[in-house]
Amino acid sequence: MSGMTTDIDLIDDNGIRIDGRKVDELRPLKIEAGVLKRADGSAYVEWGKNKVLAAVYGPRECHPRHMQNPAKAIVQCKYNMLSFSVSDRKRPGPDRRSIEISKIISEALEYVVFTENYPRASIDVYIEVLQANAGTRCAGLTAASVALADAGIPMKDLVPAVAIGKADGQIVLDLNKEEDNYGNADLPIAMIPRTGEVLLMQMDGHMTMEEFDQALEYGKKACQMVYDVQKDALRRRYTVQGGNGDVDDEQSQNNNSEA
Amino acid sequence: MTKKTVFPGDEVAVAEEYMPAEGTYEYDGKILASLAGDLDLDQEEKVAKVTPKNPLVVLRNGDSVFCRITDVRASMAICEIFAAEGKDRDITGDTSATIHISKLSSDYVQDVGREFRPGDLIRAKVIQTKPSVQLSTQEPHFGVVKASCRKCRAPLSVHGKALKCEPCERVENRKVADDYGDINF
Repeated sequence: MSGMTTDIDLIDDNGIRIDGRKVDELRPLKIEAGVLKRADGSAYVEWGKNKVLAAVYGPRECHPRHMQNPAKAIVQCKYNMLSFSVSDRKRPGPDRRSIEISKIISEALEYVVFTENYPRASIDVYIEVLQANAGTRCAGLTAASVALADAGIPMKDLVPAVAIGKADGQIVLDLNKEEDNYGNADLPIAMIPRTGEVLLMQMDGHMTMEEFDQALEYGKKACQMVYDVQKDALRRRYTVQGGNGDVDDEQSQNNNSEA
Repeated sequence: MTKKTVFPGDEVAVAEEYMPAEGTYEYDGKILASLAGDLDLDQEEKVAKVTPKNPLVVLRNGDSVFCRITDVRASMAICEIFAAEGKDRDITGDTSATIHISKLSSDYVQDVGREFRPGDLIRAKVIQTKPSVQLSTQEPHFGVVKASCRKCRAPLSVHGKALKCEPCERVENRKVADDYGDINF
């Protein structure tokens, strides 16, 4: 969507962006793991004004059968934006954009999961965007990888993702809606900080080679920060596991129906 | 033995000292965790293991499973496993299994169709997982736990060693489990 023009200043004279951040500052990020009881693994991410829920099932038998791979499991991701996630009602259902995002997220996750341990199986990842404010594919992938770890699926590492862009001719980290719409470029990146492996990279707009290098530098630092938040979410999930209120609710419901 | 909670990608040991095992892998001379769980560095065997907090349900010999009979052949019954007993999570891996006529009952079985019918829900024991899943219902605790009448589809109730349909008074033969009808799915 970048390329639209506006007369508002995305970055002021002091280098402060319209939401008060500096150019290399992330929006506030909050991750919670294991929020859904019925899914095998789940995670909820609030990233600025983005709200994303991810659920993981499997590895389970792959249907339809012709999609099975006799040598390894496949990762099937469904990225979906809810109709109320954007300011104008979004027409529900898959569209060109969400099919593309589903594909690239599946491919990024397939790289980290030890798929060869589960031949013929399918690992299903569902990403639901409850509220969107630029950078939902990064938020979705970040949530999905925490959900995979929560599901106990063996994987090389967690996958943090972040978008870098260009607004008012300057490289900025973690674009917000206005910078995404009226900026000059958008570069979502998913990178394993430990190895520097890039699992997802797309670009919209134009950057010079120097700008790209700087963007990558910002992305690397930001991915490390996102990664730490992901780890912290999992740590909290497994240290407070004893107090799971949902289980009690369900039991009392069953007792009522039997009585 | 040390106990510590680790997450995918965490460095847990060096490859010179430990071997990777369940929940760990080797990368660049280091042993890294591949699961979220408790780290177990076995000093005797020199293996680094991670016991997952949320383990997958993979069938093993001796597991008790619930299945639905899908087909009855001359020498075996074919069924679809839908749950492992005592596990909340769906099973990982093959869900189609077979019960050979010789593993069906402790008594002599002449006809598989006299013991199981398509649509019956049974409890069975896993006796083989590779290359295919094989089940056994020889013990008294294993066998049909829920079945319906062939004519009217009404649920059958236990009547001595056989099952009876209350509405149409038919009596059907089955290899019933000792707790037939007591299970709520």
